[in-house]
Amino acid sequence: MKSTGFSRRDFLHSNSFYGLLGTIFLNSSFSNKFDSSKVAVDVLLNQKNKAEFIDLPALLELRDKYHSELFGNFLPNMDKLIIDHELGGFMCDIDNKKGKLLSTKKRAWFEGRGIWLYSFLYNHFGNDPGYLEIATKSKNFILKHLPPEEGFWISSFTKEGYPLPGERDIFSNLYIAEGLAEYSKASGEIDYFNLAKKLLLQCATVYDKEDYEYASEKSIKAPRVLNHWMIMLSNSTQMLNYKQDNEIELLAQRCVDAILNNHFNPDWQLLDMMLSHDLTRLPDSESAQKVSFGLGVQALWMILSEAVRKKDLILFDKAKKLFKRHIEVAKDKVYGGYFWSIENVSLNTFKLGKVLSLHDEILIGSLLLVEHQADQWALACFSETYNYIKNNFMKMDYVFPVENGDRNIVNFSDKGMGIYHHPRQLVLNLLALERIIDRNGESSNVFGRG
Amino acid sequence: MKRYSRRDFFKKNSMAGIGIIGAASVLSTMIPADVLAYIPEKPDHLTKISDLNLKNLQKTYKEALLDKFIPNMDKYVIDHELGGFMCSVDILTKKLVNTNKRAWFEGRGMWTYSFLYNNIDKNPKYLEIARKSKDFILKLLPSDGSYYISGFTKEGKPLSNVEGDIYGNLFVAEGLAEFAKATDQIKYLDLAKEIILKAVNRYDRPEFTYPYKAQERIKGPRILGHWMILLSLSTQMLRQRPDKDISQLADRCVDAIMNHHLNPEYKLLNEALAHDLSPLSDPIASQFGDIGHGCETLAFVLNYAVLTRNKDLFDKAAKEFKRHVDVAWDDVYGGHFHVLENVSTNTWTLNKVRWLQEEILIGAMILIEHRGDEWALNCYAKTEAFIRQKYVRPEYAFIIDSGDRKMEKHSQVRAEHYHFPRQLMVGILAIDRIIERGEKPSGLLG
Repeated sequence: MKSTGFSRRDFLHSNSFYGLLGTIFLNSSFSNKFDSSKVAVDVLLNQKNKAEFIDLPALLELRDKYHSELFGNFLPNMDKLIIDHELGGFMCDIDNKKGKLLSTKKRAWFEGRGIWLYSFLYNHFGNDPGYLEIATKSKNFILKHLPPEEGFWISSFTKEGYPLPGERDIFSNLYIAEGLAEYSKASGEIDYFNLAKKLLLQCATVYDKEDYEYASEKSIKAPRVLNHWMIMLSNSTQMLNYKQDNEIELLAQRCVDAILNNHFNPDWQLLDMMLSHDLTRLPDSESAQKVSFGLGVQALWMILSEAVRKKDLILFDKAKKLFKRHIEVAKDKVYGGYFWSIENVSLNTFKLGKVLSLHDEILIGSLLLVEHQADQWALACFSETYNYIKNNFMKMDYVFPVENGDRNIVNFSDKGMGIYHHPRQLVLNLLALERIIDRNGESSNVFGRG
Repeated sequence: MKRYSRRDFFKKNSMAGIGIIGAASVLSTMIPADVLAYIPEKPDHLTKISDLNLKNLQKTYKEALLDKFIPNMDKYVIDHELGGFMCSVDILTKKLVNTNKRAWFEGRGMWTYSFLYNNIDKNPKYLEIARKSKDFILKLLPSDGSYYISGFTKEGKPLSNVEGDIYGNLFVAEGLAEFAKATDQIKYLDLAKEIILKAVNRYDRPEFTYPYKAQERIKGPRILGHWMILLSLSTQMLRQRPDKDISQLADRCVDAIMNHHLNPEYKLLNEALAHDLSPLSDPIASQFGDIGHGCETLAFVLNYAVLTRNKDLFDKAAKEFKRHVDVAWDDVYGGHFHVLENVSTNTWTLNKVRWLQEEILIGAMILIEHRGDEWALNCYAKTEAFIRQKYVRPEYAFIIDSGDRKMEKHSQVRAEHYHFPRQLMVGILAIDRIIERGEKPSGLLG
C-alpha cells in the first residue's frame, strides 16, 4: 500500500519547496567563494548592492516555501505517521519509503526533542493548542520515568511505556531538559523550567565527576566531549533568553570557554572532538585525531546564537571565523556536500558519508550570519547547501528527507526520520526569514550596522 | 631495470633515499618571506589587480633570480668546462652529491638560460651556458628516434643502456627551441620540431609503454603528462613561427586533455587513458588523478587559448583550472596536494611539492593578466605566501623542492632549475605587461 502521508514526489512536484532556491541560486558554488558568492549575492541583494540590504521579493518567496515545507509537508506527516495521539510520544522508527512504522518503540531522546519542537511551534507559530497537546502528552509519557537524582533516563520504551534494554546516556536528560524549558514557556508553568534547570545542572555535575563514563568512548576516563558542551550551551542560551539565571549564565560561559579555548586545536585550527578531563589534549591516539564537523558546526552556530543573546560582537566574530573554517574544511570539493568528520587529521582521512543534520546545521548558522551581518560568504554557503539538500536528501517517494547516505547519497537508508535537526532548521530559519522581512531586508541591528 | 614515472622520479630524488632534514627557520631568504603578494594595509580578500603588491613582487622576483639563483647555479650546478647541469646538490651543505647529468635537466637548463637571455638579461654568459649544454646533450641524442637514456656521467657516458622516457627528448626540444630564438639559428627550431614529432610518433605506437599508476598496465597508454609537455612545447614553438604540423599537434593535445582525460563523473583529469583515449577500467588507474599535472596542464591550455585568442577554450580551461586548484588545496594546513591516489576514497598523497605551487602561480597569473580574475588574485596571494613561508630558507643554496604535509621535513638534495626560475621569469614578464596596461586586464579574451 502506498504511503499514507504526503510523498516527497508530491511535494517536489507541487509545492517545489526547494525549487525556489534552485532558481535563485542556480549554479552557485560557494567553494569558489570569490566568484560564485557574487552569483548568489547579485540575486539576493537589491540594486543598491549594499550587503545590509537583501532582496525582499526573493525573501518573501523563500519564506513561503519554508512555510509550505513545514506546515504543508513535514508536520502533516508527523501527525499521520509519527505521533502517538493516544498514549503520547513519538515513534520515529519508520520505513521512510513505505510510510509505515517499523516498530512502535519510543526513545527518551526523541521525546525530549519532540516536546521541544511542538512547544516551540506553539510558542512561535500562533499558539495552536494542537501543538501544545502533542507536547503535553509526550511530557506526561516521559516524566513518568524521571530517573532518581543524577541518574540518566531509561533510553527507550514500548509504545505503552514499558522500559526496553539499552544504554543510558546524558543526552536523554539534556534533550528532555531542553523540551521542558520550552514547554514551560508554552504552558506558563514555571515548574517545568525549574525541572529543566535541575536536570541541566545535574548533567553538568555528573559530567564533571572523575568517574563519568561516556557511552561512545569508554576507553577515555571522564572525557570532555564537544557535544556535551554544545547541548548544555544550547539549553542554556534558550533558557536565558526566557529567564535570567546566574547559575545557567555561568554554565553558558563555561561551555563557550571550553569550546573556543580548550577544544580549539591551534595546530589544525579546528575543534577537537574530545579532550582529557582536565581539558588538555588527549595523548596521541585515534580519538585525539578526530574532528567532527557535525558537532563542530553545530556548536559554533550555538555560540553565534549565544553571542547574539549577549550582544557580544567579539564573540560573534570569533565564532564566525571558526564556523566558516569548519565548513570550508568539511566541504567535499569533488562531489559537493559536507563530510561529517575527519577521523584522523594527520592522515587526512575523512568519513565520506553524508548526513542531513550537518547540512541543516550549516543552513542555521549561515542564515544567522546573513541575518546579523549580511555576510556574503554565508549567503553563498546557504544557497549551495540548500541546493545540495534539495538535490540529494529530498528523494522522490520518500515521506521525510533521508537522514544519511554514502558519499553521493546513491545508497541510503530507508529507515528512520529526523524529528529534531531538520524541523529545527525549518522553524529557526523561518523565524529568521520573517525577522529579515520585517526589517525590509536589512540586517539586524544587534551589533550595529556599521 | 625499473623505470620511473615523473612522479616516481621526484620522489626518488628528493624525498626518499637521499635524506630528509628537519625544518629550520621560516624566515626570509632567496625571496624574503615578508614579501608577500598582499599589500599590508589591504584587506585579506583581494578584488582588483591593484590589490596585489606587483611592483614589490617583481623586484623581489628579480633579486631572487639574478642575485641568488643564478650565482648559485654558477657556483654549484653548472659544469663550465664540459657543459651541462649537475643538479644533485645538497642545498644545505652546498656540496655536489654526484656529478651525474640527465637529459631532462639539460633540456630544462638550456631552456632556462635561453629564456633568461631572450627575456630578462642579454648576458652572453647565459647563452654560453645554454650552448655548452646543447653541445653536451645533442651528441647523445639517439639516432634511431628512440628516447634519450636518462642519465649520464659528467663526461657524457651513459649510466645505463635502458631507454628513458619521452620527457628527456621533449625537454631537450624545448631547450633547443628557446636556444634557436636566442641565437637566431632556425636549424635548432627545426631540430626541436623533428625531435618532438619523432617523440609523438613513438608515443603513438600501440606497443608504447609507460609506467603509469595502475594495477595492470596496458600498452599504448595515453598520458596526461605527455600531452601537457607536448602542448607547452607546441605553444612556445608557435609563438616563434606558424607551423601547420605543430598547430595540429597542439590542437590534438587540447582535444585529448579537455575532451578525454577530463573525467565526466568527477570532473578531474585522469592521468592515464587507453590508446584510443577511452577511460581505463583498471581499479587504480581509473581513480587516479595527478592533480599537479592537472593544474599545470590546464595552465598550458590557458596559455594556448591566449595564443589562439580562443575565448571559449580559455573559459573552459579557466573553470577546470580553478576546480583542480580548489580541490588540491589542503584545507587544514594550506598548500596544494599533488596526487589524488583514489578519488572515491578521497585518498591523497600528503606531501607537498613546490613545483605544483609554482605552476598554480603561473596559471593564476594568466587569469589575472587577461581577466583581473578575483579568484585568481586571491589564489595567487595565498599560494605565493605558502611558497615563501614553507620552501624558502635563508641558509640554503636553493629553494626546497618538496616536503611532508606540514613542510616540517623536506628534501635536501636538488638544485631545481626549471619550475622555480620559470615561475620567476614568467611572473616578471607578466607583471611588466600588467603594469604597462595600468594594472588593467588585457581584454584579449573578452
